[in-house]
Amino acid sequence: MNKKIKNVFILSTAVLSFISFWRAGAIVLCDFGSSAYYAGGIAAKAYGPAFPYFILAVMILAGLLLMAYIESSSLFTRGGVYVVVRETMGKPMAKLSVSALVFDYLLTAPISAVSAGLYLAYLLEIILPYFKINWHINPRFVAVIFSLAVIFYFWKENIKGVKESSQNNIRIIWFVSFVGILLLILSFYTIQKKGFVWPEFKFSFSDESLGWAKYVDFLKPVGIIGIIMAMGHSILALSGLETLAQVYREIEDPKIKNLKKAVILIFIFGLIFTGVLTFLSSVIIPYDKIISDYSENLLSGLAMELSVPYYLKISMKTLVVVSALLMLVGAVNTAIVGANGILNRVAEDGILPDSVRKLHPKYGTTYKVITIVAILQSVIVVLSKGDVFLLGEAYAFGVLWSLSFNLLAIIFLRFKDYEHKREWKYPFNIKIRKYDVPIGLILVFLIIFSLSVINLFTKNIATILGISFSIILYLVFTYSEKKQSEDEDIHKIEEDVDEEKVNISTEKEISDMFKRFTKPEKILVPVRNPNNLSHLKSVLEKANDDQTDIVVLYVKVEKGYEYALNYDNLTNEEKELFREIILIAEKYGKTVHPVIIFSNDPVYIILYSAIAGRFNKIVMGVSPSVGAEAQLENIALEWGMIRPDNFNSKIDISIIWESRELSYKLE
Amino acid sequence: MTGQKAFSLSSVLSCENIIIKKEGFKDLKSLIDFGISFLYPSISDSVTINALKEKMEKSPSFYTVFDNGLFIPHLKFESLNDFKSVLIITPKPVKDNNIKYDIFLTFMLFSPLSKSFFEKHLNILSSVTKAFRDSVPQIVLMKEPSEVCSYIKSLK
Repeated sequence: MNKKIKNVFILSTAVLSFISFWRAGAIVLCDFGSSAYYAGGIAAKAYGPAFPYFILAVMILAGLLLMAYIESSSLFTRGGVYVVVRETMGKPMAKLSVSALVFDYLLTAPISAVSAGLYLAYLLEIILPYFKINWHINPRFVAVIFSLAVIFYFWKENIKGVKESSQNNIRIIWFVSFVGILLLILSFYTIQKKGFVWPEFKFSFSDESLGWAKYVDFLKPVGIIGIIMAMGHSILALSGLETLAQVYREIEDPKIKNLKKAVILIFIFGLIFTGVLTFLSSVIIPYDKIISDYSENLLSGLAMELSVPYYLKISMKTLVVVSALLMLVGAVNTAIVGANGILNRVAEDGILPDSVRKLHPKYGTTYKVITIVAILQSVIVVLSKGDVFLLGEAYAFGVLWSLSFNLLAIIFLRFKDYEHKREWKYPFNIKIRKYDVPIGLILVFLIIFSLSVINLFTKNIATILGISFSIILYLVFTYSEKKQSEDEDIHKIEEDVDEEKVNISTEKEISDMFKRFTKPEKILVPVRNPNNLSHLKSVLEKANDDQTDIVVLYVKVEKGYEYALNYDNLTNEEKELFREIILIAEKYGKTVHPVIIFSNDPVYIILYSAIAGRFNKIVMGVSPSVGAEAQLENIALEWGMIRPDNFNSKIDISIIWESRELSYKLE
Repeated sequence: MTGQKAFSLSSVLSCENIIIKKEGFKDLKSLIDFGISFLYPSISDSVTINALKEKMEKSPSFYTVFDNGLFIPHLKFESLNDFKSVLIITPKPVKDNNIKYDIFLTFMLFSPLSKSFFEKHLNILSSVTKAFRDSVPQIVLMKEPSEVCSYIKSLK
């Protein structure tokens, strides 16, 4: 029996961990919340003193849009615009929606970096003289240099594959919340001293902000049209919501419940930090001063206009700038990661050539995609010359059209996939025959769509750039897809399986590996076939994540004594197996620990692992070749061979298939 | 199913069903033929002996021989209401191209097909492997079935 231990070679584990709704919320807020620093100033310059009302309105609209992401996430664990649109409306529309989304990401980095650079520049302008440094600071020039440095830094980090830590996101949000609360308290104090006057609800659209609408008779910036135009200029505050769809897969069980908590957190933060602070800025700072002095760094302006001693103003301004740097610089990284992620997703579908997805020889990252994204973002920064208003003008195209596609897809799904039980449905539905007609969703879609259309007229640059870019990218996708299918080797029998990024570590002894599992209950789940994982789902449905370690064991049958661990030694089917395991775990939001053991005797290894790891339970799928009864017979035979004489515990073993279960107790 | 209770192998294997075949068998088929022929009279099933041999050869783990030389062919029958077994000791091991290890000890088991007996069937299988996992070399050296019987009775 001991001879078999020598035949067991390397063990590797990939650990899946899930995050709380706090962390999920923090990740989204580091992107979504950063618009607080520039949205107000850009809106103020675009259409006049009414801007704070519309920024608040956009934050309320954000809440309605976040709810739409809850429904789409309940349908697609790994969702997002591309997946949702592809499943509903097909690849062509999905390609279009992705083009808009990529345009969004390409502009997020420049607007965030330039805005951060401007905040820094204006702070240096005040602080440097104290140190007898009398440089003439050109804020926009500083912003450009700063932006290029930040993009370069994150380009390098992403090439190396340094993962963004959600712990950092939480720290940033805590700090920003602290600054936000201070600003709120001091703002209310200032209002109490100076008195409160409602900001004027008056439009004063500049020529640039009217765009082509000034040549269209019925598009006068008054009444409802004026309101829609103003909303269109404020919509850039919405950027970052797509991050929620990307982060959903990592949320812990219960997934939808935690997603809702994350949504509430994001909504409240956005409403207060972006909406209320922008509103207070407009109450405290006279509109003309916002335009002349603070349009490029509104929250710094708020700090400087507080009714507090000067040193406190400078301190608050410094805090605001530090918080701006943390949030906005973080948003730059999110934009690079997001663009890389979405382009990889479409490349997996064969819509981009494989050469683009080529991995870095040292770091294993998709360095070509990352580099292209970083170059485009840098070019945009240079062309903008640090003008955040120009960037703001171009910005909303991607946000609005990708939201429009996403909402339309979710509405279509209500009719196309009406039988699919949703864990959560967008409210306000009317039952007509077999369909739940989504009146709520349709109304929100109409709002977003009308904003998208009006922006085509009012934002010339966004329209020209956005449409051109979307068309170019769409053509690139279509050409690549066609070329890919032509070049396909008909003799190639194995398709490329998109590989999970797994961290692989090795242990020399099985018992060493199992030492890391310390929860009171331990379940061992042997797996073999990616299409036969119903037993794993059964375990995940019932297991309590806090009390149970779930180890998913794949025994790779290898004969011979020497075998070096290398993930590439696994076949495509084996990689697909691990991908399915990770997808299932993500769907349930429960932690599993996939393990590979190389051996020539799977049944022996399963039982040996169960003993060494002190597992309470083994849950297996049925073997189609032998059947459940024969499987248990093999287990019983092997158990007699391997059971230690001093074994005084018990292990429940179950074979689960379809809705049936066969169990036995090993004692 | 609840699992094993304290179980004695001698409760399913009578001393008369312990056979030492000093001359061995020429191949696996001969061994199986012998075992089935020995147990066949205890089955009142309508199946013929040849059909039984064929069924045995088609059973899922038929060619599984443990590395200690232990072989446990087993079948389930509807007509049985109790377990039947024979232990065949072959000091001259049985070799065959279809098996990885030589066979020194064969425990052939016929079990009732009913669900209520399945747990006990599994208990017997694990008890057999446990009982013989380290003792095959010792048993193979025994000269008389009575010695083997005493050994089995001494097992807990």
